[in-house]
Amino acid sequence: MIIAKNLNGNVDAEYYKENSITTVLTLTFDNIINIEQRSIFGHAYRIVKNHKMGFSSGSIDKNKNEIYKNAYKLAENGIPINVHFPENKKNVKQNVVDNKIKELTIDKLFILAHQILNNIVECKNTQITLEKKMIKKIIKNSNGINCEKNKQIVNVKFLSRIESNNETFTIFNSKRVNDLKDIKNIAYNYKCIYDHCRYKETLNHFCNKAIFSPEALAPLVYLVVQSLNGKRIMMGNSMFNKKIGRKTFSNLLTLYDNPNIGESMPADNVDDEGVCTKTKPLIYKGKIVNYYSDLITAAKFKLGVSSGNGFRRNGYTSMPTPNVIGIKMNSGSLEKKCLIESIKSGIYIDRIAVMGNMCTNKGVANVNIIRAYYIENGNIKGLVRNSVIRLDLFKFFNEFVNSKDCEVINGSMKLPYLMKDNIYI
Amino acid sequence: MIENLVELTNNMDVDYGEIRIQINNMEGCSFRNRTLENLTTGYELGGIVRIFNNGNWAHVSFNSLKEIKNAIGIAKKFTSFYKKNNNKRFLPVCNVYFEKKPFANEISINEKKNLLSNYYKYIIKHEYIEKCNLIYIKNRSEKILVTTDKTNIYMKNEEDVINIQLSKDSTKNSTSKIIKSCNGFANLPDIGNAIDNTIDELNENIVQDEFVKGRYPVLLDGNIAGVFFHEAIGHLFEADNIINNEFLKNRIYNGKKIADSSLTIVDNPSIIGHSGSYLYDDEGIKSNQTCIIKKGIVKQNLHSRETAILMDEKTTGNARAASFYDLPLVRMSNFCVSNGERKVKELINDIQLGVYACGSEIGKTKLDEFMLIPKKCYLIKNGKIKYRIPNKCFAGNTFRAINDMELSKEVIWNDSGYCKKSNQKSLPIAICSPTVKLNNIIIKGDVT
Repeated sequence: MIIAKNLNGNVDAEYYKENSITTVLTLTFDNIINIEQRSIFGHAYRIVKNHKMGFSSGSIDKNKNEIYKNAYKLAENGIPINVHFPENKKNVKQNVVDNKIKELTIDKLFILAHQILNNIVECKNTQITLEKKMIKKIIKNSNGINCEKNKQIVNVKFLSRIESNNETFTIFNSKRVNDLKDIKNIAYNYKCIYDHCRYKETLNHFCNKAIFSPEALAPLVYLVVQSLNGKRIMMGNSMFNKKIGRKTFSNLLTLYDNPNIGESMPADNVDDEGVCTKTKPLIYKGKIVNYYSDLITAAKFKLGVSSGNGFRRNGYTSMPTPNVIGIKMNSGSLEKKCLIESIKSGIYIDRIAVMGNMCTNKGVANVNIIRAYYIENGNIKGLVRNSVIRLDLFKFFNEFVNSKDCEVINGSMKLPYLMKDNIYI
Repeated sequence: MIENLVELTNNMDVDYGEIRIQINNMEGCSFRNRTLENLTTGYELGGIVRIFNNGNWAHVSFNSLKEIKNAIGIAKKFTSFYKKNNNKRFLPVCNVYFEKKPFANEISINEKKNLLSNYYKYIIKHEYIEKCNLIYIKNRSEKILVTTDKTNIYMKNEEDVINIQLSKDSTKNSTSKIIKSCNGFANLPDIGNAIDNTIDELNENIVQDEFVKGRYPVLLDGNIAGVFFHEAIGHLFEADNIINNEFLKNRIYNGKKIADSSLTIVDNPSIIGHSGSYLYDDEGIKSNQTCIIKKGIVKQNLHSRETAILMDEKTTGNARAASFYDLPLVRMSNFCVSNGERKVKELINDIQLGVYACGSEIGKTKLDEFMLIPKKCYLIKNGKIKYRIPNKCFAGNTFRAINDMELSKEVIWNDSGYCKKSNQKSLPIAICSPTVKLNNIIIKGDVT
């Protein structure tokens, strides 16, 4: 093995290899829009020599030795860092592969897409995209780490054009699935969204009670979690600067970094640096109790050991950075249905997009409501679109009611429904 | 390699087929948090096979030259698996070009690091600067396109970019500057000078001023005016945005008067030496000047080969793919807005109370609505620039704005821009624009 061959006493080496194949099929009831297969196959070395690091990467055609040599050369005058790659003599092999997903060839994807479309025949002008992704990662280092991770996931995306009241607009939804039997529910949910969107409502009041669906809540929770990135905290670039250990939110808010959410497809036993991942609370009963790090952040800011959150978001061409792959928020005691029924006049927000960058230190974000429904006397009515709200996340998570029911969003976040008073639109 | 690709396309036995390969050699060096944070090299080879057969399109990408044959096989299988569709194939195009100009001779990444390290030391000597990032990225790319129409193209492209980001007073006051070269590291604009200008900008006094809120005239300098025209107008002319969009179809068609008669806009990737320049697009169409608006009247949309055939218009050479595995989309390149007749000074003199906005931070649009955040704002009072005020957000209706505006005589080129579309990565673009005075624009509160 190349690592052993090139090793000498002063050198720590890490080899990373990634192969992903994505098959994409997009079709409507009567036409094929796109058939595509995308491959990304490459590898990279990180070398630490005399407390200096070099990094080099290449697509699979590039010789492994050459990449090693480039990284070695860069390490001679490289990034000053006293980092040691983790030690483990045990091989870690992880397979997150559902057999039914594994068997999905292009012809079976085609049949599956038609089955789903047949379940939503009422949704005219709907386009479905099925995306099957196979990812294989190998992490080895000179201290004995030898990990292999295999995953296969399917993304289902819907896009419809609705014509109503002389107006044409598009609705969109996407879900990641790890079990094909979930697809029936996904189709049913989309049908509900489509039905609600056919009726347009206007809001009478600027101040409303609002329910955020798990899907709408996800980007807001993610903003909070992003601010618990150890690197950002250490650099003073987080809304939680000087707030570690302090109670900041409502008692009802508990957030876990959970890399192994039961239904999570990105579930990982080890991160992309070979460090074991673990479930840990980030916010416990409103108190900021933890932040997450990778090897470099832990070494640079003298945080002790990495928390097992070193992941390569941009694939083999980039070094790992602190990232969270699974988030779980605690649930409440009331059912979603009760929350909706308790509202006389308000909105049910189903999908949002955060606009631009959050104002870092203040925790204020501008949010575009992509899809929301008017609630009248406890019943969900027609669509409310294109509204903008400005949210102070400290206030947002300081007072709320969360539901008993939770949903897994994109296979990586398990969140409840959340009810808020006084949302100004 | 090209001979092998020609042989592979000759043996494809399909209605239309193409192989596009991209080879990138990258270098990166960044200083953050008062230390060297990143020193990397990277190599990427990848390509995509695109086939039209049996009335169907299929696309298969690969990461290794050994995989091309396999990719062709999969793509052919994809197209033949389904019933015959009535999709149209591209109109045939045959272009041949082989670029011989070598890449610039350069110093090593380690030498560049040492040089940049000296500049970084100079920045951190200014102790009041809290955040100081100096980021260098280089990419040398080679593109090969071979098609069954006998198009055979080999092109090179080189880009060196330095991004200087500074902030002080707990990031309340921050600024950034991008400098770029298309001819190698040695031809980058003076780095020391760029750093000094950025530090000066950071030290500018900002007077808190709350009364400029509401509807006022706004003077956009060439940089933010360029972003306004690119975002609010340019994207409306990309044919893939128009197809299936009734709103745009009713507004953007040949002969429709949409703007003040002073407005003429062209997109021209064939101008040499700018960020959006190229000789052939990613579908092998020779780059050309496309006039989209002439004297306020719609002339032409921007097209790829696919959209041209769908809308029964001529191709314009605007198909660009961000990565080797992406399909080419209709994208702008060097976007040029023609100048007006009056000097910037005269435009300022006309304003009793308004804002002079410089540089661009964010530009967003939704059909005919736009929102702009500049890098910095100055108060204009009684025809004079008074002082710098906190940054503002501007919003308005695009069509109303371009029917009530004035353009300056002076134009500036901005080569530091990037444009993102759909799920693809950003592509470099250039914008040439005069300063523009927009009347009756909504000025929102301070942006911090």
